[in-house]
Amino acid sequence: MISETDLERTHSAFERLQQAIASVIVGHRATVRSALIALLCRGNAIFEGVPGLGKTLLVRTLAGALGLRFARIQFTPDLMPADIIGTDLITEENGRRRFTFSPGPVFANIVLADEINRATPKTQSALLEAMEERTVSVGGRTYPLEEPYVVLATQNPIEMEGTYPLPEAQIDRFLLKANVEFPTLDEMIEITARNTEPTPLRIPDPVVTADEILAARRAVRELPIAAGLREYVSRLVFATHPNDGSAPPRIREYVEYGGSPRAAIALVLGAKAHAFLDGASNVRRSDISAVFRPALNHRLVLNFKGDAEGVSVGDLLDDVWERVTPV
Amino acid sequence: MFDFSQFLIDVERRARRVHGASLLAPVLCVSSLAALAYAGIAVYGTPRRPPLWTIGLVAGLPLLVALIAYLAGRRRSVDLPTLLLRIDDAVGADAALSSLFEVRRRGADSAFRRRIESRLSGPPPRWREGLPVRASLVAVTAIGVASLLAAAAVLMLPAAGVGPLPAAVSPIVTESPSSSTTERDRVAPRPAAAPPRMESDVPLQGDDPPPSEADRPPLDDRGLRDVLAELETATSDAVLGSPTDRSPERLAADEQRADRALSEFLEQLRDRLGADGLSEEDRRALQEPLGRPLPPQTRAALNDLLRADNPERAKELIDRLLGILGGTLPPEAEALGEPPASASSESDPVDDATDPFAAFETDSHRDGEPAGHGSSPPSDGADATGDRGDRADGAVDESGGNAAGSPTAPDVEERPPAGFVEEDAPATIGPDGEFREFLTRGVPIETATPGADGAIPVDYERMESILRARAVPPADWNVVRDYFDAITKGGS
Repeated sequence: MISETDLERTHSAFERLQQAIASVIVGHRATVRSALIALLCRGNAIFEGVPGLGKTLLVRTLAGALGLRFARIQFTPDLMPADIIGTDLITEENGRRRFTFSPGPVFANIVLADEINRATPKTQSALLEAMEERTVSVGGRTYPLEEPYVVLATQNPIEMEGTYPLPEAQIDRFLLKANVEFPTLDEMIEITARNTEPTPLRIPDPVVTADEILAARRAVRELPIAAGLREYVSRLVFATHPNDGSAPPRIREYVEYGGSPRAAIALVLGAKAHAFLDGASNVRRSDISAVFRPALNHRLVLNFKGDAEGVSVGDLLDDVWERVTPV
Repeated sequence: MFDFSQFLIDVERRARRVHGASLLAPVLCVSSLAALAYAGIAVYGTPRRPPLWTIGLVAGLPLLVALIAYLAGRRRSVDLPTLLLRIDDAVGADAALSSLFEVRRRGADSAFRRRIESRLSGPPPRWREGLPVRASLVAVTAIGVASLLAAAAVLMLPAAGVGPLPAAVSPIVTESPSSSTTERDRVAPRPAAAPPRMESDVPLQGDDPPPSEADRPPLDDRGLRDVLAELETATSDAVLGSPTDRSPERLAADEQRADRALSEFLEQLRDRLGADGLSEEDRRALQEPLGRPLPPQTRAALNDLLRADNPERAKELIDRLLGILGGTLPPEAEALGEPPASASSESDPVDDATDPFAAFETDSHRDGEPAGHGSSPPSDGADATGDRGDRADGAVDESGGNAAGSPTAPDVEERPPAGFVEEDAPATIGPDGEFREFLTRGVPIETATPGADGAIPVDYERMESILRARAVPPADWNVVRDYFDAITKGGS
């Protein structure tokens, strides 16, 4: 059980972390929150947005504030799996040659998979084991990844030519998917001010230790959620299935597959982490609301009609949210 | 310190009450509406007032059923996590209560539990709003209670048209003519000695079924008193709008019958009036017609007759009364109950309605079909014989039909001889009970003079010819013979 002291310590650490990120990143509160939630839940997150919104800067800032090792992988069509996970190299030591494993960029604490949809599915799938099992298998050997570990991926919704959309199995492994919104006018002014001043933008120093992150993860797991809200989450996920009786009409019409049990887990865990970041003692309905769309919008698979008509998954999720009530 | 356990007990109690109420309301409403419907039917749908115990039953049964429903509702399981979450939403507690319940249920003593407990210093002041009794339940319960009260009021308050009818009316409405006669006899017993024969030639024929042979006094014993009593009953029924609902034609016919009976009584009285004048029994018999509506002239003459102090004056007044009554009576043929020849082709609604043969006769005549035989139209006066030669079941009586219905047949049965009385008398023939298809056209005794032994000779040959014409099986002739033997030799 987490002690009151540890709880206080973790809370303060993440408050510092949020302040450090906010000193660099203008706006994008929901995106930052999603990244922190993924970190707290031992998950991964994918950010989708047009180029130039600061996705990479956000991840770099997060990594810097956490004091963790950061690796950035720019996904391109010719990127090979070995480029990510590493490979065995022949090395000569004391006159003897032998294979030595050279770890790839995936061996870090914070991995930025930039424009992940530009790599081939073969390369994309090289991340699967690292994202889910936190291990990497090369040449018959399995190497564990160091905790805390989180993969933060980005993808560009435009310029879809030459891209390889992530397969459902892989995209389901991302705890959250956050849409990076375009900044508001005030935020834009602030962004230009910060990036054009004589003083260059500086990545913050580490404000949180790895131990504090791991303690915060334990606290998130312990954070209580009412049984009624747990049931509510399950009903929300059920309502995303077109064959379920509680599904809204548009879900029945446009959705091929709804959320998986992993979606419900992501929703509960994400709500817990959201409540933790808010300093709450228990999960509230507002926490579920905050992570509902990020946890589900990449897990709904539209049918042909939905794709053809350009239906927004977010709008469908809004229907589900309005239809399903807690009690 | 927030006693969360006590709070949970309070929540559970209220939830059980709400569950009970949610089941009580519809059950009470439905059962009360059913009770109200029953009360309405019991009070307004039936002539008798429902017994007192039904009030208790009607009022108590819905309450009992509602109580059972309430108890059954209370026994429903209580989902505390859901209820607590509902309370959280109602009071804006951000799921603190339900989360605390979850933490306590797991037995974890975490920092989060302490934080929640410290946040909840006590039960939320408006926590009952999370478990409200819905307004619809209140409305349904109110409807149920109102229905229950209405049902009790309907059963308890006197309602229009409920209760016994006035004493002066109910006996007339409910009694049959035969029982009316019996009642009157009980009030004013008939004299011990048999009054002078004042039999009515034509019995009253009403819409009510005629009394059975056992209940009905013998024709010979029915005097003017009985005829008048039946007439009074008939008149009362007509005035009061009894279910029998006699028509004006029927009342006029009854009046005529009564006048006819009075005339015959007066004729007999004149024949046997001795030097002593009117006896007390004669006076009592003469007073009875005064009880019914009479023309002023007749009433005055009747009063004069009652005051007559010598036989000569009495005979004079009797002649005067007979003259008055004779002026009001129809011709002899009608007086004998025989419809005029023209009447056989014109439907008489009264006779059609009462005479089982009349409708058949009339229809046959209207259709132009021969009465009885069916081969030729009936001749004048062949109506009764020819038609009544047809059996009631539609079979054609060959002998009767040929004898009377055919224009070539001798007109032996065309018109009953004078003094014959037409009587629609049910006869018991054989083991099958009552038969109404035979009509005794005449009794050849009325003009006969009693012999020394008081017996009246009967013309059996004529009677046999009548029975033959009526197609009465010869095996049953003895029944008819025994009947007439009995009534002509003082039997009954």
